[in-house]
Amino acid sequence: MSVLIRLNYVDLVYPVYSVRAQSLRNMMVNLSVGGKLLKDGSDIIHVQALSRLNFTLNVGDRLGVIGHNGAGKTTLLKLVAGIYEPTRGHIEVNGRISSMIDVGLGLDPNLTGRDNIINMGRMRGFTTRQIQLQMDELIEFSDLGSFIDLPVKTFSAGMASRLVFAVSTTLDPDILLFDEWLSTGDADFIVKAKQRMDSLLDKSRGMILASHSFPMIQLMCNKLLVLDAGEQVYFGEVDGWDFNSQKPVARDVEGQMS
Amino acid sequence: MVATSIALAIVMGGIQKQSLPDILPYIMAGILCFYLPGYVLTEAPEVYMSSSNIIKNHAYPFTYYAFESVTRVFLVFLHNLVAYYLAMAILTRLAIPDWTILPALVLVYCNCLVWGTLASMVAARFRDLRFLLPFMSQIIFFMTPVFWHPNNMDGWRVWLVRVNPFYGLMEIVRSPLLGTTAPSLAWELSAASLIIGSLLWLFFFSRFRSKIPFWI
Repeated sequence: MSVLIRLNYVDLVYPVYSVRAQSLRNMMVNLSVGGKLLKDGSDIIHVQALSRLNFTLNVGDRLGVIGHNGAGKTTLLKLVAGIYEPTRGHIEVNGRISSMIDVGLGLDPNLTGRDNIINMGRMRGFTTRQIQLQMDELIEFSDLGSFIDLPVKTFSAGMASRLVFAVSTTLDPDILLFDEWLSTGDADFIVKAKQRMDSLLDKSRGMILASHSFPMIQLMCNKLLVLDAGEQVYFGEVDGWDFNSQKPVARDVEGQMS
Repeated sequence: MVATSIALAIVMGGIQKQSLPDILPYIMAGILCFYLPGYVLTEAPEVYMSSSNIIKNHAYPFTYYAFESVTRVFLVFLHNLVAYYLAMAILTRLAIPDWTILPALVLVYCNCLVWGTLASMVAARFRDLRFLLPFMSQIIFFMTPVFWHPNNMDGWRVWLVRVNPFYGLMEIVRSPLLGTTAPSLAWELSAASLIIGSLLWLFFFSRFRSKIPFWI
């Protein structure tokens, strides 16, 4: 099986700049007094967001990522999407990323839903003609009806996420990244989205889904990554993790030990 | 743009004892052309900040944002050109642009790309530059021969012209627009600025590019 995504002992450290560190004037002042004020290192804080992540996804794998808030789920998705570059280690992605990390990414609130579809499509590298061909299917799936011709600023959060979901799954999905994408949709749409995800499994070559919903991950994913404070606690088959006790299933541990 | 140039033309015409139809084309074309390199100070600092939403969610190349904003500035320039030619027609001072305007625009475009990217990067890292740089553009506007003539400066003040890349980048477009050719000094300044800018860009952009998502 060919490799889709491979992370090789990836570390990600990211700097957080305080208001003081974001000012050139302060930095100049510090330089002129010999940098004493900066020496305590509290102005730029380095956060170890991910440490020593090491896993491989093959074509057709669907990875679920779970972990507490701040465990690094979104950071991992952004790393795979290429937004962040790893501080150490190596990451290999073979395919086109279609991400839905944050709803409202690149949505222009003043344009209509239809114009935003074209915008998002153009940003993903499609021609206007290609987008127009899939426009009807897209609008139908998003269930927005006549709202599609209204400015996006009139949409509710759920409607906006439906629009983005429709775009990212309709236009040539290859590797899909989702971050809690169902939390804002209504019940009908969740059912519809799940059906769409099933049909997508044939079209797309892989998926990473970060979620707090264990049933959803058990339903849709075959691989599981458990993160805790940026560390990889578990990676393997979904069946190998006991969601109730938050531990790997006992037989697996025995299997590894023997 | 039209109102500013008329106001400046009235004042400067009075100071320099020139009639309005003589000085207005010079000042109007000057303001029009200063707008192009002025992009580096006025609009470039906002580029990464204003698209932070997209940068944090999609891995598009960072050069895309620079191309987008510089192209927008050039489209606005073309749009203003219509107003300029209307004014020239009214003053009956229509001139056919010299052919050197084409390489000049290319040179200014490249300058805007490299220097603009640098400005966007430092402005994303140091937030106070977002206010400082647009303010600087106003000062540089007064210190550049946009509405005064370089020949009127003497003594040490000629250095305001001689080492001013904004003068070069403005003049290589303005002179052809007025139907003449730009002095070689303007071309030298523009070329030197592009070379220095490209070297700085190569170094800083390749080195700090990966940090941009953390800065914004």
